[in-house]
Amino acid sequence: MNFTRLCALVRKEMQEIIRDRLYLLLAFLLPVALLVEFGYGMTDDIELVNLAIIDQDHSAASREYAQRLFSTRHFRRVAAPEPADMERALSDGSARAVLWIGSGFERDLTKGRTVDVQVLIDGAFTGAARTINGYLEGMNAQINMEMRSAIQARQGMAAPVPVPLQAVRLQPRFLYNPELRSIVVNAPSLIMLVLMLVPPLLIAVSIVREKETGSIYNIASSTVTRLEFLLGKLLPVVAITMINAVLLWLTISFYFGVECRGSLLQLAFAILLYVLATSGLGLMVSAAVRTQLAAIFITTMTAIIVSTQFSGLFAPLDTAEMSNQFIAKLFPAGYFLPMVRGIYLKGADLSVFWPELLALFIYALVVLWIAHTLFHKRTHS
Amino acid sequence: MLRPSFKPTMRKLALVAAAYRRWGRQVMAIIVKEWRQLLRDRALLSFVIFIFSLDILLAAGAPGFDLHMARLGVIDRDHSLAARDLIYRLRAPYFDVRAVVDDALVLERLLERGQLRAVLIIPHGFERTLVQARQPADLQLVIDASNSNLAYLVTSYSERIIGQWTATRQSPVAVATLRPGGLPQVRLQIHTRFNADLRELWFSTISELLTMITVASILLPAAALTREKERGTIEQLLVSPLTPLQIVSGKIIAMVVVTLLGSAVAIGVVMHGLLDVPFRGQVVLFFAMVALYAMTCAGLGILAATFARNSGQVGLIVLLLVMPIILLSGTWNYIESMPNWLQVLIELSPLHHFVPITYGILLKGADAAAIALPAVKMTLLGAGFLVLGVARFKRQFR
Repeated sequence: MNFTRLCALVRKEMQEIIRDRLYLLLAFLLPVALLVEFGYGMTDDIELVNLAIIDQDHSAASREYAQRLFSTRHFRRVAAPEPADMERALSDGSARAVLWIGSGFERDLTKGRTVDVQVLIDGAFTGAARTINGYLEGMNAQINMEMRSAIQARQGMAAPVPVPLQAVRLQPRFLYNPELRSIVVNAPSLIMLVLMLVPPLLIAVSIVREKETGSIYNIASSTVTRLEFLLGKLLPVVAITMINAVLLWLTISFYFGVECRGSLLQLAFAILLYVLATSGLGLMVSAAVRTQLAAIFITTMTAIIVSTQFSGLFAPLDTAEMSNQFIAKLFPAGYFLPMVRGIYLKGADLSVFWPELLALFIYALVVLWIAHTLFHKRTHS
Repeated sequence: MLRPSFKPTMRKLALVAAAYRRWGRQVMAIIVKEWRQLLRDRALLSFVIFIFSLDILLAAGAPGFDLHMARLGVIDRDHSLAARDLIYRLRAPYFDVRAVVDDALVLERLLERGQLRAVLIIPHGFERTLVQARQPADLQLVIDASNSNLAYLVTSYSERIIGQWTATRQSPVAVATLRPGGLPQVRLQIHTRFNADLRELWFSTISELLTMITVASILLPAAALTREKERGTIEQLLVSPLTPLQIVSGKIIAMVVVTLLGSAVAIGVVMHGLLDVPFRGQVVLFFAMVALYAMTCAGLGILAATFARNSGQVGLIVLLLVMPIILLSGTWNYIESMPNWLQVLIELSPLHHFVPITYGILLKGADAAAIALPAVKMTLLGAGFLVLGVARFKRQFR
């Protein structure tokens, strides 16, 4: 490998990028724009979720019960449908859950009985259904506790021994994100997501464009080796992406206020390996296909599928089927996510993640090797 | 003046009809050209087939939102019968319980690497407090909250299991003091509709199909139009008798048909055939909506392409549009919990309107009336994209 030639190639690529003003603008705008949008939009906290309550008891107790459910910001009251139309409210999406308080609610409670309240939840969105179910049960338990302790306090004087309402009390302590803020959880995932999506696409058309326009023949007739050519394409994109990574970090820590608990240098090193792997993936596609259309389509689709399905973005990978866990091993995102979460949120030392680091390093070498094998200076056509 | 007046009108009508037929034939020529190009690009074609078949199948095995074998470390400092009994209750399929060393450093390392999701600490004297029943017996649960959904599930499931366990071994003292009727309580009878067992694969395959339709029908027309601009073949098309509207419609219709075929395979063969995902609504209504949606997306793609001069640019522009559309349109997030400005912006996302339509028809058996509002909004949006896109396209080539 000749460094003078490599430098010349890198300079040429840089110049091409700088002259394409819109591309240059997008290359720097895209990551931060995506980050800000997702930072605001991807919340796990349920807030103001539409809940309808059919109250057939019309009593003080039933009104108070409903009032308590809406006293938090989790639910928003929507107009109650007719009891016969409960399903309709769910199927047209006007409510995510419907609660039905039957008549006799207050009467039975004052008699010290157990009163059943019917709840229907829209199960089409499984994740939301589970969360809403959990919130409702949690709030119901809370309301019961308060109601019973109020009653006990009234009778308390008479009872010989004060009995705890709760025999066992679970005291949860949330590590790394005690306030359970969504943005704290999402910040490292967004680094994974954005750096999986953008670098492959920045590089995707690079080789295939030269094939389509025929400028590849200049390379074919020169002394430039295939490896130098590929590195000439790869290095500028890696450089741009590393600058983007800094922009991402600045946005996350100063705009969203989530600071990196681990070492920044270690974070940068992990990101560098990840970016080499993801942009190598784009380079591989670009070397393999013959049209820019195919290159863009395959890269975009792969990046989206990998970052949403095979990274552990929404749910941890170890809950997936074995086949999916295996496929996840073939892409860099699954290695990077636990690592960036560990360093950024948990303040872990990089040495904890040596297997993942090694995997990413080998990964980058393998994709580069495949791109090298697939790429020929002379295209057959 | 006895000449019958209907003859010229008939002739005029015939002329108009012929003009329309010619218009249609010309558009058809573009459509066939697009299909040929797609068929000849082996790599592209294989990937289009992949996203509507194998990829949907893979989505069936995607990680789920339920608590499944979450690795829970347990430190038992009580070594009592009660503690062992409790640990036995925290079991599969929710938890994968592992005894861990009572060493803060080791624990920290296990939590950092994500090898444990949570640690339950049973303190010394747990059983004694429980039997005496004078005060609640405390348990500590340390949870890795770097994945908040999981942290939430771990907490609520362990609370529920522990609650059930205490109920079965209610201390005799406590039972004695309660009145015969006991204290009142409200019990929620929760039922889930449309997916009663909350089978994840119904959700995951539908949402994956939505993602694939969205990206394909925005990206393919956008990239196809940009390619013509980049190579200059668009000039050839424009000096032909074709109008810009015809060129654009041809490209859109070609891709809409591809999307329809793809979703027919994905839903008919993979989802309904292999995976037993229900199809509760009307088939015709659903595919009409898919066609409308694909057209709306294609309109957005054409509009995006008018801003790009080369393929590199169009890819980035489409990514900028497509990612928020996929992730913020209501499949993965709660629209109602987003900030207001984002709720207004997301009205511009075609997928935001298509999500209730798809889940409505497939899972809820919704009829035309139930999906009318989102369908109208989506149509208006699509018309808007098309008018803008064609107008900009015309101006660029005048």
